[in-house]
Amino acid sequence: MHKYILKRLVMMIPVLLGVSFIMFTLSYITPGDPAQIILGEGATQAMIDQVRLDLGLDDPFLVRFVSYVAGVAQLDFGMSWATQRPVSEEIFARFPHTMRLAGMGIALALSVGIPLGILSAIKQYSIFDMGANFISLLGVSIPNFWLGMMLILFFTVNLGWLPATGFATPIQYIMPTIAIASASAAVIMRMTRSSMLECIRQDYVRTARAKGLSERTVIFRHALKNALIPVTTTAGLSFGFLLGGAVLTETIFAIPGLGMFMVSALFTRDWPTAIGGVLLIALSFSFVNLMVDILYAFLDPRIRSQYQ
Amino acid sequence: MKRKLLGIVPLVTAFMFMLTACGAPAAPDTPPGVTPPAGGTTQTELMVLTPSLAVSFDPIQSNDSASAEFARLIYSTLVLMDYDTFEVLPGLATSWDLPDPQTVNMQIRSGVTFHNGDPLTAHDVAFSLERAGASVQMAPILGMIDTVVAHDNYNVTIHLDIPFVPILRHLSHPAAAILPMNYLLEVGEDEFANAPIGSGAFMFDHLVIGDQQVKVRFDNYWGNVSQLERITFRVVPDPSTRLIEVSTGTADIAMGLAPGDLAGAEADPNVTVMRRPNLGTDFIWMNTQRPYLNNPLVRQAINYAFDTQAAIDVVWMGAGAIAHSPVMPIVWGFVEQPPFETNLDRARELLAEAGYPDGFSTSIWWNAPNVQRQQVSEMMQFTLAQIGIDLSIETMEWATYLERSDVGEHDMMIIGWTTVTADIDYALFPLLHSSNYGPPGNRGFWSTPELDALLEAGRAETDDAARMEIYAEAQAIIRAEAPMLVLRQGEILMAVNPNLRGLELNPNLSHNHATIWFE
Repeated sequence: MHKYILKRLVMMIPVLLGVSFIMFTLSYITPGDPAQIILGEGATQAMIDQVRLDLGLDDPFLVRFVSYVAGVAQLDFGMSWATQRPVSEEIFARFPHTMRLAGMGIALALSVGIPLGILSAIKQYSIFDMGANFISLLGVSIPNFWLGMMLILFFTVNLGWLPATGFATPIQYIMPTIAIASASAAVIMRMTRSSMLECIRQDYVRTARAKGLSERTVIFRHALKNALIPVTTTAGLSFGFLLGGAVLTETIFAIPGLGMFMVSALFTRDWPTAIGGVLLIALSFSFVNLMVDILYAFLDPRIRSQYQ
Repeated sequence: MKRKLLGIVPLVTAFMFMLTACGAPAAPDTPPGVTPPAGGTTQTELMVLTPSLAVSFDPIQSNDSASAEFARLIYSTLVLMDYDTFEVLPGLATSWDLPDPQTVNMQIRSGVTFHNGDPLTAHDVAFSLERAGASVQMAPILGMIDTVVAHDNYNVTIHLDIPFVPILRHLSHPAAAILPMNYLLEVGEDEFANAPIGSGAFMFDHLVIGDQQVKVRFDNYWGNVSQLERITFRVVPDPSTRLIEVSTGTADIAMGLAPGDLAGAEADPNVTVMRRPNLGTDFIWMNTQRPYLNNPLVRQAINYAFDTQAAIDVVWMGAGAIAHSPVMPIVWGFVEQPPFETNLDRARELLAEAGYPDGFSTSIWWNAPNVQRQQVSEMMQFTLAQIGIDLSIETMEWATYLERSDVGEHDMMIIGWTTVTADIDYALFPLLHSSNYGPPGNRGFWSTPELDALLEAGRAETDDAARMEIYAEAQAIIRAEAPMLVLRQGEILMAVNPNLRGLELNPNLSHNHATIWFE
């Protein structure tokens, strides 16, 4: 198991190299001159040339790429072209907010999606099942920024219960977490339902019932444990999606997270910041996937035995 | 962005006279007609919601308006501007004179201290202005500063590279802030930008990256000490959310109201809407190097065809005002030109006269996600179809937009310009001098030797009246050649706490929050 984890960790290096190479290539071929964006309108060609020189924009592609990778290897992500502060300082100041938002989002999605999915499966075709399906359809269909604005309108403007923005105190967690979790909760609920339905029809469930186990034991010990493997995969992917896709939620609720910052970095062609942010998200995503794979081993003895 | 040059010498002389006569300079930080109550105010903390925080705390590192607004509170400048009359008022400099259009002598106020207790002297002034003059970012505003000589602790002479009469207005820009030389040299530029020190009404307290920035009052400020103790700027990117925060009482100022929220905000009893024309303009460049648009008759025809008032009413929900010149009426040097009254028949006649009675095909660009520019493009497409011009619409995001229009790939494009210095030179020289084709501002790629000569003469003319005549002539030429279609004069829209008093909106967008108090 340790060997497996170590191997997976080492394999992240080529992934990160690949991500930096792709981002670097994109920065090279994307139109728009960072020097001009920094200077704004009214800049003369001489000013633009000077800034390009200062930023090293005129160096050949490989020279820039190699020196960037060498820097990252020493945890130096360079300076943000827009703010002139170290990229690491900028992204590490923001990443915890995004991480917390995504973490709370996935926690809510799991705690709503799994129970609803189980209930839907064991009461298939009941009114409850249809209602849950309807809600999950809404969950995946409603854009989270719209849901966010509706929540603000209702809970802040109409009722005056919750603060419109921020993400520092527990009361401020409520609306952003609901907004970001809704789509994932729906997907997890659907996945749990179909996976449970499949397990309930398996021979070992019939055997468990036949030997007289209580329905509760049958569902939770025998069916659910087997049904959780695809749900875990979905939850891992959802978490990665939440990390990278929190931009709109961050914008609506004014959460100073990484997503919002990276979008503005892309608009201003602040490539060191954009690449640094993407690398951090790629790294987190790899970690989440690794955790998911380790979780499989705990859920499924067959997989566990393969690791040994 | 830059603005008046010419008439400064007589004005300055008059000013010095007034100063000597009254003995003490006017208190420049109290807006006229606003007197805070003697007993202090009920609320001493101010929460401002802004779309973005200052990019840099070093006044010469970035020319965005959030950085200028930060600098306005933390630092002091040599001169201030009265935004009603656009007269130059004393700041750190108590008096000045311009012996010639390339030289300014200034006397510096004594007894001013920086936030760290160091006295502010002419040596700090010389250091700061030479540094600003060498800054690439600030070259359009202060690049003309060559050397600055401190004769003693309180007298400096500023020497310019070129004859440049608008220099005093440029010195009121926050980029010309006076910085503490010893502190900056001791800690270095990077550390200075993290822990800035100035002599302004507020001291920098702390920054939460990407979220908020807090300033506290400086009790030894040389001007009127603020009634506020603490000013927090917090980032809330969505304009509707900013408005909701003010309406629900969790913030005092929502900057940059969306035009679509204007009616709702004006009807909301928990919000006061503040409006003031700004120094910005929105306009459509017509690339005069492209087929069809190289003909002034065609450009006039397009100006006659488009109904700008309808665009203001529909696209901007009535925010802003009609404008017939790239120079806003509140800019020094503005001379009213005959408007292009909307008249489709006249437009058709002009097209026929130009040799295109059956019209032609051309295109317009707008930059995503600027919804207003999208709507203007669509209105233009509809309008031009009526005079036989087939207009296609193309969109791209900002960086690509600038890069492609730098080299003149566009036919028409929508853009804005802010004359931050409130002097006409800063509108016309970058936008319409032939040396500024492309990135510096002239994306119409149009000028004439005659206009070039006028614009060069304008910035060197020290007599106000003569200078005004030069610019009147220049504006008449621009009106006749119509290289652009001016859509509107911009307007500041801000939602504030109804108990807020004493805020004077600054047309160049760097508002001074130090004068605020609450009832």
